[in-house]
Amino acid sequence: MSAYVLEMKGITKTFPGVVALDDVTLSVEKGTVHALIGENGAGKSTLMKILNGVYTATKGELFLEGQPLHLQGVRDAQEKGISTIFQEFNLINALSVAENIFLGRFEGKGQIKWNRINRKARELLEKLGFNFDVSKPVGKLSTAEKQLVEIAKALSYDAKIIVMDEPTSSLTKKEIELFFPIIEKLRKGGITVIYISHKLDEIFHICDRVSIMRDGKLVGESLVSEITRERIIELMVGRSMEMEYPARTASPGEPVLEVKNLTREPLLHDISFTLHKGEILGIAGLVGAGRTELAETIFGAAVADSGSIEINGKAVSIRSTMDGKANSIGMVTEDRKETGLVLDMSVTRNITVTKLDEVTTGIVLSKQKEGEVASEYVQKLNIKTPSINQTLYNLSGGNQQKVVLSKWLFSNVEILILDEPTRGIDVGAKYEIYCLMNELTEQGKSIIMISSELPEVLSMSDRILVMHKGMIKGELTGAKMTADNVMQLAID
Amino acid sequence: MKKACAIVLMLVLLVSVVSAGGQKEAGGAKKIFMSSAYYTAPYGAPLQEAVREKAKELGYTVQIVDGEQNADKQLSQFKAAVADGYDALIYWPGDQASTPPIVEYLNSTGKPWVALNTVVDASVLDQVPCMIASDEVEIGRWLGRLMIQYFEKNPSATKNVVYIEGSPGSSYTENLTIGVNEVIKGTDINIMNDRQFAEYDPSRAMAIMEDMLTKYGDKIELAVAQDGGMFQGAYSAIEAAGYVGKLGLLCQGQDLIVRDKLVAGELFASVAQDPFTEGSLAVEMLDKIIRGEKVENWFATPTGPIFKADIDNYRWF
Amino acid sequence: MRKSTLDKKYIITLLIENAVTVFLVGFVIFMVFTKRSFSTWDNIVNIINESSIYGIAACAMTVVVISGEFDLSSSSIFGWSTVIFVICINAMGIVPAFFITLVCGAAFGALNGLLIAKVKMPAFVATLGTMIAIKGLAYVMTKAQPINTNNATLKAIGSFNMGGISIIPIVYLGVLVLFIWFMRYTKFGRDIYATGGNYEVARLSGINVVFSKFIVFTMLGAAAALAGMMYGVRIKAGWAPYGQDLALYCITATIIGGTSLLGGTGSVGKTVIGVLVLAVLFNALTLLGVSGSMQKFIRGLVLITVIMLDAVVAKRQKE
Repeated sequence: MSAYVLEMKGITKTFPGVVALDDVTLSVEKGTVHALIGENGAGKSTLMKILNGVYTATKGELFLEGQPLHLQGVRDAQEKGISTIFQEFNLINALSVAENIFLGRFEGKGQIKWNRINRKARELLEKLGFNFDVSKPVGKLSTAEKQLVEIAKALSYDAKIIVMDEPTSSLTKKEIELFFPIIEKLRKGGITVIYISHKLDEIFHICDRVSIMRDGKLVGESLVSEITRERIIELMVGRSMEMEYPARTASPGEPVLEVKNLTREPLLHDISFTLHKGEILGIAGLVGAGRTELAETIFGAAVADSGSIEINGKAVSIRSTMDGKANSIGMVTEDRKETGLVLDMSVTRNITVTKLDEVTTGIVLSKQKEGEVASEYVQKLNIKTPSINQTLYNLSGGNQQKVVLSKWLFSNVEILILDEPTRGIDVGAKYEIYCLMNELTEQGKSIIMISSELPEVLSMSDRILVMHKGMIKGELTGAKMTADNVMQLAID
Repeated sequence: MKKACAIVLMLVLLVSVVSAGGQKEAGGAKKIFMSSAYYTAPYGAPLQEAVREKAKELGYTVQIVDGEQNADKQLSQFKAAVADGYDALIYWPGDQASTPPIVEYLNSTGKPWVALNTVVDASVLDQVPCMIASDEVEIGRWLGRLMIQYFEKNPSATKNVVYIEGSPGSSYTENLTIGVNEVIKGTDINIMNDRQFAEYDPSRAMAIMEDMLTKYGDKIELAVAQDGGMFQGAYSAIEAAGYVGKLGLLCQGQDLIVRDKLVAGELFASVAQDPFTEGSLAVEMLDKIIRGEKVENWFATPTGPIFKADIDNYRWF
Repeated sequence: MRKSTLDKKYIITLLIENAVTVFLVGFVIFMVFTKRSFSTWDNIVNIINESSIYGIAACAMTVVVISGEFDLSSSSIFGWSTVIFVICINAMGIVPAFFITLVCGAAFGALNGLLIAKVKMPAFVATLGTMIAIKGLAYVMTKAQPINTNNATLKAIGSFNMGGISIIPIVYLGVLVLFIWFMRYTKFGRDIYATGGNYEVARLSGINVVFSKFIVFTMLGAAAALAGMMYGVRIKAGWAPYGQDLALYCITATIIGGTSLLGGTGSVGKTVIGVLVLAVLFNALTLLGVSGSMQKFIRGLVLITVIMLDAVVAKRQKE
């Protein structure tokens, strides 16, 4: 009998063109709180998706209490004692607490025995030290209470392992204080918790062990009592940065965009900064720090409550995306499939959509002009597509991203906001996009780049703003632009 | 799976079109075409049945299509039928106002034709070779007379009447009401809540009756419906509220439910409007025109009151 | 299209992808051989004349469907238009009547557009509401009575005839060309495709999505009014219940033509095929001597079959 409740041995997971996990071995002792930490994209979530049955490993084995474990999906994992609590809860708001806990497992033949279900739900919550009305619809609960319901649901499956993905990210300070004792109770009850968090403080507060991941590999593991904060950060970010990034070629000039005291409750508070001509301004921070929201507000996809925006020294009012475009601002969104491209339209139509005036003679669209424009960008950005009339479904991520960029290049904006410009695309295409960014800034255009990939931010930015909880927590320039400094500002 | 389904559906489609089309190709006999605006109305079914019966009896084949109360559609149907070589036409209009272009077209074809049930617009009435219709105002008058008659038997009453009408603007509804008002004007009969339209829909009639019962309860002394279907709806509401026998009932039509309630003694009387007579009269008149005989320009379907004692003299449907 | 030889698989794919057209052609051939009267000029003209009135509204309905919405109230706008058209003709003559009716229709459409694009009500609820309200208004206008007209100009227009073709198919052709041009060759048309294809993408591309949604309903309102007036030209009467089945007919024709209810794809040209399928089928069933009840069954069957085939094609294309 092994001392470990869970062993993941030599786990490798490849997606077409990407190695997401490379020979990861993770062992977790029973009744401990085990922290898993790493940058976005380090492979934490892929590893956890293998553990909860969403993915199957390409290579490697799982052992639960010493027995080999083969999972057929999330439900199977739950029934075998592995439950995951996601940041986005899997609860149905219209149903009651008890219904949510026992959803799909109601007892009784034909007729549901509500009394028994409600009683059992109550017992589960009492185990966690809480007592509230289990017939209340979940929609009426607070975030913290919803989390409790999720935990109770995990317990109802007799969970041996509960994976918590950023459990405190949406809790208030007070709620967090109430949350830690629950974890303590779970540990005392012999339940193992795998705790994924960016918040080092929390890890030092409640975790027993910590495993650190980077680039799909496990790069360190230690008892929490035997490691320092600095060492964890070093392990998280330490990697070589040569050759992946071209050197910056342009140098910033006079200010083009000035944001003053921009506020959009409850997401953005009092944000002020300046963007210069020919500059790439990096915005770093954790997911949920308000970076995308800031971009949306500048572009006009959302409206600020207060504050002002000046372009070339003139105050402008941006209340819609049309205003943004009219003020020569463009935005490449984070999720190209959902918000960047109309996938069942052709390459041509997607490129020309932002500036149809340009390909219009009088009031008639010129198909010929359109085709010329599309061909020009396909060539210039090296977009690999069978034809300009191809719909975008079958293009690779990198090529789709180039189409999104073409769309804004074509509309010839002066200020380009790039939200995660290289997410999910391969190394070669990334390099091409970086070169393009250099080229654009040489032409005097300015770029705001939001990125969760630290090396990208560090290598491509002229200056870095670090956001935290809807505010700009610090600005880094020159020699101060190091991974450690960014991380120190980005996490609590 | 989906593909298989689609193929099966296609086959069913083809077979149904071919078989439905094939069966009517009888040679020799003269062909009559009828466009019925009220194809699916309760009154339509027996009328159309009578047309078929009579046509068969006189040696014609007949096709009847649904005009869906759409004058433009009916015009197209007639044009298609003429193109296809039908020998004679029967026209059941949906409403009065839209009839002139169709009457003009039918006359321009030179084919024998008759109009049925809904009286055409006054401006073209004299151009119709033969109009077979009941005198709607007369039916209304009979309803009015029966109301008076009912209250004569109950002199203590305050004469409160719930009167459920068909569709606003339809000539049938309006003419009936004209007839009713003509007769009851000057009497102290009180129609409650002005005009109540159930649009010939039994469930609508039921809802109206429920509301009236809730509001007025036993103040209601007589419930009158403009046809058998709406009577059925109203009756259901009265039954559910336990008012059967506590208030008088009166309607128009020859539906089976009407007969049952006459037999049970719950219905005071009904007014005859016989779809069977109307349908077979239409074919008879058309037959005369085809054979070159002279016919009257207007042919009224007989009407009159039906009491319990008379039920065996009528056909029910 | 690269293969010139008889590639069996390629041909099958082509046939399935154009199933509706194949069905139409096959059905027409079947009719030509089984029923001599079908292919007479009179009958062909009849089919064209009949499909034209609703065809006018179907063009605009397609645009609404491409934008990702649909409109139930077009039936009532049609009925309303027959009423107001006849009233105004009797009161003022045909020219003012034409413009008043068109403006009224567009205004009702604009109201729908406002509710859906600006207030962001779901199209089903908004147009259901306006459908009932407009119809009620049309009833009120005439005290629920149908009305007709003897206007000489209207009669002259109605009796215009070019080899059997009346004025209505000519108007239809004009509307059709206008809409095809609008959707293919103008910026607004393209914006409507993008809005229907993915609302968020369109919005984040700086497209005026609110205006796009607004304008499609306004155009449908005007088109429904124009169709209502054409009905007036043919029937010379007005009544609120006229055209009750218009909205569903137009949506059906749009779907049969191959425009997806999800929005973003399809074309006005395709809807012409859809309208033709319905008209040919309707005409043929009457010619074949199919009774009214059976006709309904077959029409339902056609709709289901077409949608089924559409799903098959969509699946094939994804694979």
